[in-house]
Amino acid sequence: MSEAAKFGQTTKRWLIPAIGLAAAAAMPLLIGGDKNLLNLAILVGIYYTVCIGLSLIFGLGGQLSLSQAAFFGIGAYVSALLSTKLYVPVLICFAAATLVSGAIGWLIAMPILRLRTVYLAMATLAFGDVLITLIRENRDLTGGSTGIVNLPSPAIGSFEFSTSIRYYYLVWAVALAAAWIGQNIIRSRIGLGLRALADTELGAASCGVDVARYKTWMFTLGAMFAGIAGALYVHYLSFISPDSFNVTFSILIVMILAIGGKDSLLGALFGAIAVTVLPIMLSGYEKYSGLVFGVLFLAAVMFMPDGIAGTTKQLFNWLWRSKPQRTWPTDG
Amino acid sequence: MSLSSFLQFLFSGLTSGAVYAFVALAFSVTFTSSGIVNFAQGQFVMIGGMVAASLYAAFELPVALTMLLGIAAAVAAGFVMGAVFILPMLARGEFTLILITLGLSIVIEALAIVQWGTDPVALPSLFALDAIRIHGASLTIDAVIIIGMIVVTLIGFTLFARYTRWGRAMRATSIDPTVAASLGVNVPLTIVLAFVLSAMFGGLAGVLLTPLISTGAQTGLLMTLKGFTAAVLGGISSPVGSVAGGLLLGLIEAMSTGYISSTYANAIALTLLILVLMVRPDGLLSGKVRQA
Repeated sequence: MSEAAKFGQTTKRWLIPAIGLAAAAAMPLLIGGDKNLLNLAILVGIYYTVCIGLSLIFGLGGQLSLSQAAFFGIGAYVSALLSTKLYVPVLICFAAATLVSGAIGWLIAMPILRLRTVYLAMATLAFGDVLITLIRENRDLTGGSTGIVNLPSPAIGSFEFSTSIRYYYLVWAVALAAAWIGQNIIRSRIGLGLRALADTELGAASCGVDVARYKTWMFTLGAMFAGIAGALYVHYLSFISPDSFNVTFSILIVMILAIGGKDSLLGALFGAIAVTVLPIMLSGYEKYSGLVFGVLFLAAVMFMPDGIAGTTKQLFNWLWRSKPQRTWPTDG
Repeated sequence: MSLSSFLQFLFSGLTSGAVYAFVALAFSVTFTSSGIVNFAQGQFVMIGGMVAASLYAAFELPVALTMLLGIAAAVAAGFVMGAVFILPMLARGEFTLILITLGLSIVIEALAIVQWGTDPVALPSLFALDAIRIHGASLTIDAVIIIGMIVVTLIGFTLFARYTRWGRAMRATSIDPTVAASLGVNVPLTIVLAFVLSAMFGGLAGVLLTPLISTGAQTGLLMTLKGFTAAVLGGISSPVGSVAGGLLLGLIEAMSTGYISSTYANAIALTLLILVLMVRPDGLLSGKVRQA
């Protein structure tokens, strides 16, 4: 690899996270305390965290799992129940939500990840649906369809994350930490292995990739991201009900990846912004908002095969007249 | 008492199962020929039912004619979907194609809501006959027709796939599109044909379903989910398996509703599905699985 290329890579390696960090930190200053915009930015952060998980499982590993909504729900209910029934401090509830989601993810990963393609998609979807039913029907514990209200805000000592701006920083600290972990996995040996098994499991296995273990790890990690995002979501709304975690949410998560681009974590971010902002922009059209959203989604899928992230990258390359980047850096 | 209620659950399970079976068969037809899980599949059911019912309400045409027009509308939608949206995008890979069908599903539903609103509409029965009574359980003529039609359709489709030129082209494409193309099969046309056929099955289910329970603009997504569940349960790569999966899903739901609880019916069916997949990862009656 030439020195220039190496330099390019090292700058890029630090540049994008640095820009991300700076942008996330400066965002509240830029939007100047506008409550609605801040609210959107918090939702984007939460969706982004869920989508990083799917980006790793599906974008990298090629396993279409539709259970992110279920793990989002598990995390949300674990945290809501611990904080309201046992009065556990909310930040500890968040940790518990992450761990329980991860543990359940790990438990179901082994049997379920043997399935391929549509069978995997169906089984993960079914898992979510069964879970929602159990939550809805266990009225004594979960409050049934009405859910639980007045969830407490997280706090460190006497510092409460009760204002939107504080919650914003909490959500984005988690989102960026997830992105950082995800990015490191993509670059690591595990990332390579996952990319290999997405192409051919048999081939990857014959090259020494422990297919079952890599898939299980990734599924577990994705479940943990979804779990903490779910906990953050319900404590932000201060309210929980089973309807937030149904099949519509699973489809939304897949749509986020499709619009943004499933091949990079940046795509998940772009997609999360698109699905959060678009409905607000369309809210003036009332009757036709669903139609416009559908047409835009269809157009995005048809004309931007690699999502917003892919198209942006192409535009960048075209503007700077540089050659299309190779996926793998080659020596010489 | 117990026999009559058992028979009643059996009939209602077979009826809803027959509807699921139509959608599952449609899933199987497009999946085997193109590898696409068509997320707009249930929308054909909605189109068939809504077009027939609204034509009946607006012009008071004979019911049989509105049913034919409903199926024709679904077929037209299937042709447009296959020829305009899927065919030019075939090289894009299965994930993009599946997302296109998801987008189309959203657009079709939104159009239907703009056109018809969200209220369900009904269609009168094809024949004015009394329900049949067997040991105290009643079976309506519409239910008999729909259960009979799924059997006829499955036999018809099997004969078509075995003995006609186009049917054999479809089977060849499902085994290996590249080899099929090299042997002179027009693969793109075969895929469009698969979409048209699957739309026809969906439309047929829609017009037969509407006299039984009213259809609304938002029926499509539910039908997609039920049909997909049924197809996976029976084995999406096999038409017979998909139809069996549909009937089985209907029966499981009806028996769970009758003997356990209606709130858990769906969860019980899905739990059984997961258990089946643990033992038979490609569905109960999987045929030869298309390799990606």
